[in-house]
Amino acid sequence: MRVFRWRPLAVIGAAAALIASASGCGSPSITGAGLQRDFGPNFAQLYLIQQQLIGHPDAVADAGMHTAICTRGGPETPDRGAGTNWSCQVYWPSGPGGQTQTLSYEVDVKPTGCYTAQGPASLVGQQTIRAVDGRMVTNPLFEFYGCLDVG
Amino acid sequence: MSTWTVYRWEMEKLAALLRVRLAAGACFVAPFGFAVALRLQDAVPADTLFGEWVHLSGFATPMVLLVFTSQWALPLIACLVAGDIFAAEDRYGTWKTILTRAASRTSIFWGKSLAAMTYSVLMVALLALGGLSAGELLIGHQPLIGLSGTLIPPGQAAGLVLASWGVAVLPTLGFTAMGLLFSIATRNGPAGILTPTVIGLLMQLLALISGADLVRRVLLTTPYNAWFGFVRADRYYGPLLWGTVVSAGYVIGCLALGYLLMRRRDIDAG
Repeated sequence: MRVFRWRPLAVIGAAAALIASASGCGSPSITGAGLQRDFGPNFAQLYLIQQQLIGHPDAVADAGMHTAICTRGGPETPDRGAGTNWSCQVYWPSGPGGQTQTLSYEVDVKPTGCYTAQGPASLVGQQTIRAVDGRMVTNPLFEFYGCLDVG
Repeated sequence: MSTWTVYRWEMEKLAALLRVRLAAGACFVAPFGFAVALRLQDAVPADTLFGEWVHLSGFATPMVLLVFTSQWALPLIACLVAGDIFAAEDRYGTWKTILTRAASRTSIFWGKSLAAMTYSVLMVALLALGGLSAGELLIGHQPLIGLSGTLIPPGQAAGLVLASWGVAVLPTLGFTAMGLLFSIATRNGPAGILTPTVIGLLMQLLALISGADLVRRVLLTTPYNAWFGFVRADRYYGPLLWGTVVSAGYVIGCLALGYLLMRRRDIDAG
């Protein structure tokens, strides 16, 4: 009755073939619109945490900081799908004279829907920053994470 | 003998196995080694979710550990027992002995399957508690930055860490059932242990190269990510619900197939 030993392998092989043939179907649910909806508020919240750490507990994130513009690659690349070449623009309020500045994060979006964003150290600070109590702590804005609901 | 008797008997055998004892010890102690390594260096595993926050909050330790282990370690740990539990009877030639001790095939199947599932749940629990206590003792219980950029207070963070690991139990049980199936089908311990682990790795690879959501949704590795939806301020539970359905599908499918193979097997000839 050794013939039965290969039956589950055949079933799994068939299932794998079915999955592979279905690979072309379905649409990726990672989009620029979805990413910027998540990215903006994420950045604004982390900005508040950073300001608290460095001793500005009164800092506020205005509506503009919740707004992000996320695009992928060059103009010819459609703004959807996982990839390392995403970038998100957000606003930084502490320019000279209270002016807002635009800053751009490099964003790596994984097929799981989770992303890692790295900001320009010149504006958001280095990986570790000096907290109000003098300790060196991780800068929440240097690099941060988020996840999109990809179902 | 009833299923319950077989189950207790299998649990006693498992508790005596060196392989099981080592796995249990490693699951609880390894997180401490991991936390010590994180403490001793400035570098952080920044590419991993929560990796950037390992010095900021001790609750990041069990989360990074969850991301790391769910890549391949959890399927392997689960199948260390499940993949061998039926094949061991072939290796020692003991099928006839246990079947003549008035235990039916059905009760042996369910007793062994339940024992393997219990072991898997215990290992996940040990890793979760090990990670949580290592982070708490070696790094501290500062608030954790969630996936939506908000600070999660320590009590809630501890609950979310345990919930995330709880979610990891579901696909781990799926891999356990797969291990049981291959243990019955191949009658070979190493094949039963390694085949589901390799399938898990292939699934990770498939999720990585395939842009299609349909494919990603039916893979058993995807439910490991279901916690992404709730370690944040504005939660979503779609992936958790679907992940539960997918994990249950794998458990039921593999167990049903394993049960059929076991019922049909000709022990006298085998």
